[in-house]
Amino acid sequence: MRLKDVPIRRKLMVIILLTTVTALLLMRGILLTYEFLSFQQSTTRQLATVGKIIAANSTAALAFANPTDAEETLSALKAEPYITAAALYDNEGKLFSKYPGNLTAAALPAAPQPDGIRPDHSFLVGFQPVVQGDRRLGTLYLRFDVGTLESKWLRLSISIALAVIAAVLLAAWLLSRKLQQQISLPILVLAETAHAISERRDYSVRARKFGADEVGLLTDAFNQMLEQVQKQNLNLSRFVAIIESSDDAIVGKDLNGVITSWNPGAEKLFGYPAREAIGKPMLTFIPPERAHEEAEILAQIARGESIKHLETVRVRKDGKRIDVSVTISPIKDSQGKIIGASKIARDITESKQAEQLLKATLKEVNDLKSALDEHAIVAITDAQGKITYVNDKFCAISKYSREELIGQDHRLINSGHHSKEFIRDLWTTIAHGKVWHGEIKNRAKDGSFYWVDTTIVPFLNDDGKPRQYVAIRADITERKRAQEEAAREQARFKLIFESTPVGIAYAIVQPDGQYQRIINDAHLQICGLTKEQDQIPGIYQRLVHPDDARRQQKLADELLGPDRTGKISLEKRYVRLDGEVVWVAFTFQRRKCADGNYEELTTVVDINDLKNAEAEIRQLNAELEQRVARRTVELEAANKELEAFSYSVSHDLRAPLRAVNGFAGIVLDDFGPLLPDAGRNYLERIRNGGQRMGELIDDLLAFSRLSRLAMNRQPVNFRLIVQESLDELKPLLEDRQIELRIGELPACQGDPLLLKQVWINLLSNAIKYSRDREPAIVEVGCTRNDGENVYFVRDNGVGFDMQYVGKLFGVFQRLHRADEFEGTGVGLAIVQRIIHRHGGRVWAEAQLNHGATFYFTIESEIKPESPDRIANPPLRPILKKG
Amino acid sequence: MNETKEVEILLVEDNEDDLHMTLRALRKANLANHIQVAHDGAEALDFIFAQGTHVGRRVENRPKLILLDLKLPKIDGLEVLKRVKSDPRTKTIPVVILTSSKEQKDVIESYKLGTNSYIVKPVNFEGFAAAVQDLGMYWMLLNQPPNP
Repeated sequence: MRLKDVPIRRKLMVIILLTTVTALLLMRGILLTYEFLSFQQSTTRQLATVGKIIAANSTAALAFANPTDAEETLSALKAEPYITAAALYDNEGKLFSKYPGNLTAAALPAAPQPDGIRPDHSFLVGFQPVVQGDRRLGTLYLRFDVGTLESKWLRLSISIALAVIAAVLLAAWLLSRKLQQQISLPILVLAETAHAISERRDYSVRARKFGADEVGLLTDAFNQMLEQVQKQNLNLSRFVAIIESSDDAIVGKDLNGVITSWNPGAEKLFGYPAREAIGKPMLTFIPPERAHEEAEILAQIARGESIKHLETVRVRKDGKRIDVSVTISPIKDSQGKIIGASKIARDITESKQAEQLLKATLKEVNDLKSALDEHAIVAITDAQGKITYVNDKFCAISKYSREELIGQDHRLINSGHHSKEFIRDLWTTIAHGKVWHGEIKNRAKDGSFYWVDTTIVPFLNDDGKPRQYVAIRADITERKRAQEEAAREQARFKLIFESTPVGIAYAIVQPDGQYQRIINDAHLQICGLTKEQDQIPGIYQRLVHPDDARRQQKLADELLGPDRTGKISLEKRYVRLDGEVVWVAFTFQRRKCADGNYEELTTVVDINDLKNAEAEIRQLNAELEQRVARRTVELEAANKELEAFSYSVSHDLRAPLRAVNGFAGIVLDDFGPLLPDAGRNYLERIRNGGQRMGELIDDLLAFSRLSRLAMNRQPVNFRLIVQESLDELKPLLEDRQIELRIGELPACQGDPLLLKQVWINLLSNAIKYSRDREPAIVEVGCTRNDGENVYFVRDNGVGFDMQYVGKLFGVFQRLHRADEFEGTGVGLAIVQRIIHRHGGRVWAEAQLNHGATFYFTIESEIKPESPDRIANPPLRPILKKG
Repeated sequence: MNETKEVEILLVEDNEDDLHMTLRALRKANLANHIQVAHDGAEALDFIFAQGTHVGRRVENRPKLILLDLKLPKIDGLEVLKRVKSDPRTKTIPVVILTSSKEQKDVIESYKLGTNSYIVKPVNFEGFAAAVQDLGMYWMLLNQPPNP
């Protein structure tokens, strides 16, 4: 324990004692030195004295060289115990005698040294001349053991000194013990007070003042200081409390970045307890990639700059990284020298996360908004209802531009469809801060209407008053339309369902047999049931006529598939509850729906009247069929007769004609020269008449054959046919000057052979009746009239009077005499017959002597042949049986 | 009629007028020798198949040509044609239908049954004579029948 560390009381004591001892020792030392010097002088004197005595005593011995006397003299030295050796040297320096006797010569100097007394080692040696008179007889050597004497003397002196010191010390100690209290007590009290304060940190304690001396002043100052400290401590304790309770890490570090203080916040934040953290470099808590930060921070601190809210990353003890916001300020000592830094670190991991969350949320909100904008019609109005925002969809549906909408209110798109109460309810709801939801019909700029499903959300300000309204709408025009359509459809269905005379029952049957059914009045009426009776279970089965029930069962077994799905229809009887029997056409169909349920549709049609009528009709039909059969037989017979007649005409009628012709010819041949001219002339007439009759018969047969021939319809190339016809008519063209003009002749559908006959007949007529013309002009062509092709043959021949036009197409009808123009009057009849069979028309225009034009059309569509032939399609019965 | 004589043409015709004119035409063409006339279908078949009044005649002794009217009493011409053409002994005899009928059904039916020619009797005298002469010339002189 060093002196400065010992308690002041002892220090004081030590000081007093040391001072005393020092003074004593100093005094004693001086005294001792003086005594020692005195002792030495007395010793030397004593030795000189002894020497002189012995020398004087030894003169004789030496002078007579009597060693024994010498020894005797020397032995007197026994009285001087401290003379340990003595010797007598003769004049020549030879050892003459020695003392003590047993002393070896070696222990004595070999020869006498100069006279005098001088120290030699711990001895004092003296060489004393032995003189007799003026003559020197020798030298006496004395060795005085001064060391032993001195040590003896010293021992004694020191012992005395020690005893004195001890006594003095004791006295001093006792004295100081008493006196020092005057000084040390106030100090001790002060010190104890200070200690107590430092122990207990109770700065309210005050030191006791003992007097107005320096200690008293010190005490005052101390107490004053305590007061200051107490005040500051109060402040400090507030700071400490703040620091201790702060969630932020508050860390002190020195300029080397070594941690000097570490609050609980830091413990919590970094996971290191203070005892571990303090003394560690700040770098411990900095991730390696940010290690450079610390140097920069320290540099900044060293320059006296603060670092505020540096957002960075630190590492916890568990290795976890935390986002922190760091504020670092330099700490200056009282001289303003920067001695370190205080660092406040705040964990912003959460706030970072919160910030990220906020960002993410904001983004999400934005995304949601864009999604909303994509999906919905969005508008925002202020509290007064003025539009402040509309999205594109709003513009699109309302057909107003954004500029036209902003600043307006929704009356702009008011359709007038909704009642005032509806609008008022809307405003009341949202003005009270409540969400309104409903469907609104709006009017677009172009006057068209649209429906929107609308949700209006009021955004409230802090007073809870709506600040703005956000209206989110979805276009439901289609849905509304569909709903209206569905409603109309439903109404239509209901109307049909309720007004149809067909009894309909429709049921959805669940697999467990539960069912929902709708049934119309017609069904009830037909079955003669009231609505209540309809509910009786199994009532319909009871109503079915037993015979029909069996039939229906059989039919169902045959036709219905698994799950009784499928369709059956039958005519059956219901026996109404009142006993009346009613015939119905009954259908039942059952099918499985997608949802696993079954759909059953039953229809019943009252066919009672029909059944009655059917019987009647059946009878009528039977009669009719009979009549038809009879008529057919008759007609077939007539047809046969007609054919037989034709055959007869062709065969039998010609035979006599041939006979007339033939025999007239034979007569002319064989007997012509015998006959007078008149006779021959008559025979010629007979023959001509017969010939003409033959032609008439042939034409008539040809005409009647037309009706019987089957038509062979196909595309007909009229250009080709006209050409072929003209080729066939070549004989008629001989020796004729005829200008043929052939125009456009579109193709048509028909029987080529029959149509060729038409052209031949018309062309031959044209050629025939224009034979007086030079040149004759025959023109064929086609005009289009009312969408149909009108073919024509025109000539510039004799024409005819239009008043006879009605006769023109009659069989054997002629407008010219045979001697003017040959012919049988069948050609145009044939033309008309063929054209009629082709569904066409034929007509003529003419002027007497100014040519004639014959027109005809051919129906392009293939029509069933007009029943020129007698044919009866079989009549179908009105009702099919079963 | 001399049945032993070889008959060259069997003329089946019920109409005396036509028969007269036909024979006259053939005569004029020098084809009237060895003509056997039948006045109805039954008589024609009797002759052809050597039956009835013609029993004893040899069927193999076939005429070179049969001129056959269609409309005949008793058995009509088509039936005769059918019998002739369905019998192997007689089916190679050329049969020419010579009739007033222009009906297609007669023409078709005749050809179906195997007639060798179908001639409609012209109504006018010159035409008729010329037709008969032409066909007689053709079948009797130009045509080469297979050997019996």
